Formats: sequence, C-alpha cells, structure tokens
Amino acid sequence: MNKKLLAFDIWGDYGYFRRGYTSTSTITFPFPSRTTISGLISGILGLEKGSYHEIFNEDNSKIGLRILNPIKKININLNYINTKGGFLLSDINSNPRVQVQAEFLKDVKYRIYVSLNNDSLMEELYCNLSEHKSVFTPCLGISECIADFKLAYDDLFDLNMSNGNDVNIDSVILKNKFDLIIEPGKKYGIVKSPGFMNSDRIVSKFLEYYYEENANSIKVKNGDFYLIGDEKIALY
Amino acid sequence: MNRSEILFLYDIVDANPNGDPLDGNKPRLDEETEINIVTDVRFKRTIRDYLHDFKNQGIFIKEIQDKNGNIQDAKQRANDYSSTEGKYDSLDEAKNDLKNCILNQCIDVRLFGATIPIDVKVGKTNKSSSVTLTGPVQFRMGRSLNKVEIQHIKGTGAFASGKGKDQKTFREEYILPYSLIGFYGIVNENAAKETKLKEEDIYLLLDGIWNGTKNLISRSKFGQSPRCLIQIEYNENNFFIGDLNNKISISHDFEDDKKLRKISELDVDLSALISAIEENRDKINKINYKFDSDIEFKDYSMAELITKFKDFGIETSEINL
Repeated sequence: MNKKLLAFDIWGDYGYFRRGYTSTSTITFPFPSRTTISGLISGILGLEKGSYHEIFNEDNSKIGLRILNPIKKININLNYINTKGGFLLSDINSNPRVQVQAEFLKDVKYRIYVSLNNDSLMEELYCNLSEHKSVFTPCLGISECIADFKLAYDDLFDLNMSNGNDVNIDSVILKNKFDLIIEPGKKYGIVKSPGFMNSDRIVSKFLEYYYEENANSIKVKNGDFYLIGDEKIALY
Repeated sequence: MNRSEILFLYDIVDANPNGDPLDGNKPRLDEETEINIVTDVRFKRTIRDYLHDFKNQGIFIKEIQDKNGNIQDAKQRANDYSSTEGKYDSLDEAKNDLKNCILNQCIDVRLFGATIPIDVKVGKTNKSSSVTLTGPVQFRMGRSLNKVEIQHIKGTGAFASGKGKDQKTFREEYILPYSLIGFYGIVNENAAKETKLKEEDIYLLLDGIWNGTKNLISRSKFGQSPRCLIQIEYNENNFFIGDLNNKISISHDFEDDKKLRKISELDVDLSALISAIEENRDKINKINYKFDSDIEFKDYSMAELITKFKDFGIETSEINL
C-alpha cells in the first residue's frame, strides 16, 4: 500500500499566527507552523483537542506548505480587558484595560500538502475537503480569522520522492535540508516555528524554514522533493 | 441543530463604527485598500449589551459597574446547587460544576465561548485553574464594502481644562461620512454541543445582531442602521458554503466610493452569493432573512429575490424581529 498525498488551498481575509515570547506587541508568523496545520486539519476532521499529536508526529505524517498570496501585514490594535481579578470592572483594581498592538496577516492564501500514514483518516480528509465539509469551523490562527478551503487536485496522489540539482521548489523549505541559490528579484525570509508537540501540548521540536515573501519558488542546489501536479514541493 | 452561516450588512452615517484605541480612536482603516474594519469583538459587544439590557439575558463578559453582577450570582448559584456548598473534593468536579452553571446562566458563553478563570476551595486548599470553551458562533472581522475616507472634526467643549482658566477646551474626533459594513459568521453545530447552545439562543443572536445594531444609541454609534440579514441553514452536517462576505459587492454611479453618503445611492450585488446558493441548493434546508426597506439589490427587487430562492426549492422565511 503506497502512502498517499493530497493538497488543498486555504484562504481568508485575515490570519494571525502569534509568535510566543515577544517582548512588546504581538507579531505573527508569515505562515502557520506545522503544529497549527495539524490543528487545522484535525478541526476539519473533528478530532478533539489533545487527541491528535500521535497522528501528526514525525513518523506518521508529512506536511508541506506553499505561500500562494504575497505576505502582507496589517496592524489591528485590540483593547483587552484584564480579567485576572474578575470579569466586572468593579472587581479590577488597576488598569482594567490594556491596548495591544496586534499584527495580522491580510488576504492570506496557502496551499497545504498532507500525507498521513493512517489511510482511513486520509480518505475521510479527502471526502470532507471535496464535499466542502468541516466538523469544526476552520480558522487561520484565531477564531475570528474564519477560513475557507478547496481541494487543489481532484485526486489522491501516491507519495513519490524525487531528487535533482538546481531545482525550483514551490513550497517553503526546511533550512537544514537544502542549500539556497539566491536569485535577484526575490525576497527571502527565515522563520523558526513549533514543529511537533507531545500530548501535553508542549513543543518537542522546532523547525526552521526558508520562504519567499511574494509567493515565488525557491531555487536549491540539491535536495529531495515530491511531485504533485506540476508542482515540486518539500515535505517535513 | 444545523450548521448555518450568517451574512449581515449595516451602515453608519457621520459616525465612528469602531475606534482604534492606539490611533487617536480613529475609525479602523486598512491603509492599503482604504477599507474600513470593525473588529469581531466590537460586534459581539453590541450583541451582548443588547441581550443584557433589553432581553434580560445573563451575560458573563460584562463591563458594567455592578457589584451584584451575574457572574457573582452564577458563582453563588453554583454554590447553592453544589451538594458540597461550594467545597469540592477535586478540581475536576469544581470545573464541571462551575462550567455547567455558567453555561446555564450566560447566553454569551453559550454563543461565543470563553476562557473562565476559576478559584475554588478543594478540600482545605485554594486552587485555581481555568475552563476553555470554544464558541459555536464565530464572526470574521467586519469589512466595509465601500472605500471610506476619514473626516477629522474639531469643536469647542463646554468646560475649561482646569480651575482658574477662562478658555474652553477644544475637542476633536474622527468620523466616517458613510460606511456599509459586512459581517460574516458561522454557527457550528458540533461546538454547540459543548456549550449547550439552544435553538432559541440563535433567535436571540439574530435579534441582537439586528436590534442591537439599531439600538446602540451612543454619540459615536448613533446613525447605525441594520440593512440586510441572511441566515443560510444547511441540512447536511459539516457542510458550509464559506466566505460569504466576499460573495457580495456594491455598484453605484459615482466615480469614487468615497462620494457615497446614503444607502439609496448604491445597489448591493448578490450575484455571486445567489450562484453559490443555487449550486448548493440540495444542501440548504432554509434561508431566513430580514431586509431593511431602504436597501436595493442589483437586478432583483426583494420580492424577486425571495421568489428566486423559492424557485431553487429552498424554504424561506422572514425573521420576525
């Protein structure tokens, strides 16, 4: 039994993939981390919180992501109420409100590639995507960034690895797996985000990526990639 | 309960639908596209306040200076109902007890979910924890269908800035001459089980959307009018059309959106939405709607639009608000 691969597009007006450990305002990752993608797919399938880390661990799954719309950001500042002491303003002794600058992504669109070892889940995911069904409401990072999605290809593909020199990869790539060939006119970025977590939702491994901000491909010296339609993609 | 999607349009004239607290309380603006933004939390606040003030519903997330607020009651009541008089044997028991009491008391938690901090006595020690509930009803940020321009208005106040002064203060504010704002939301039947959302809560939600927007009579919000509310209810679990707010647009005779000043100067184009409804007619159980008499649709009168839905074989009903 060959492992299968499918691809779907996901988009929305706004996205917000908060980076932890920022000292002042909240800023967003340019694209969802692998853990966020796992949660998103689990929401479409209707898997409960905390039940799916096994399905998406390193041995059981492969994920890839392609940036389809250029990365654009906008600040939407939020007025938070401090609810540590209670929910009524009369219970809150000092500074009941705090204004937070929040950086959102705007007009987001990604293509997500998924390969799960669990065939029945793959089948279920394929059916849900093709019938435009989602058990829980899909969102891009937080609930108000409601997302819409569409299957990118009408088929499940077999997962076949290829290898080549001087290849243009259409997806984001792992920094430690590829050597970049920098080309003029492209805008590169590096970002590190949570990759895997255990059943207590504690991150066990981070992943570091190269990506191109304007949704162009990235040229690499040599590396393993996968073919889907006419796209060459890296999975992680 | 069925999955449903909500599309709501309202407009505002010479006022500020949602100020940015870090930018002089200017109306929120996407600088690149000149589109006006209203946050989902502002919209939920409108609904919460209406349900609390006009419909006597318990609201968990309140901002009223009220020592005997509902949450106090809920805690009190939790203790009244608990067989252990507020003392619990385990944290899980306390969490469940308080969660259920709050869900029974507070419509906003049933609708929008909440993260609830908990402080209880377990045995002889004080323990704190929290309960997280994902809301079955979620809204996207609201976006205006027209490009807007912000106007800066200055005036004189009635008072001096301090004692012993003979000059009145100046005041300034920012307004939008006209903004037609669209909100898109989903009611998720699976998350509804978790928060015990009831069918009548959804009716109250629609009531809050329509009448809350209308009744928000404060200086910066006066002049808001609800224009169009469409709720598409599906008969097939987990299915939804999606992205409704991007399936509508406006047309008018001005060369620039910013010249718009009133609803009668524009037509709302529903063609992409109508196509999506037609395409998925078998999966739609019912369309509930409420239109303001002043809104005009492109190519259809209101009656023709309803007839069209009926021709698709879809049951329609006007929401009684």
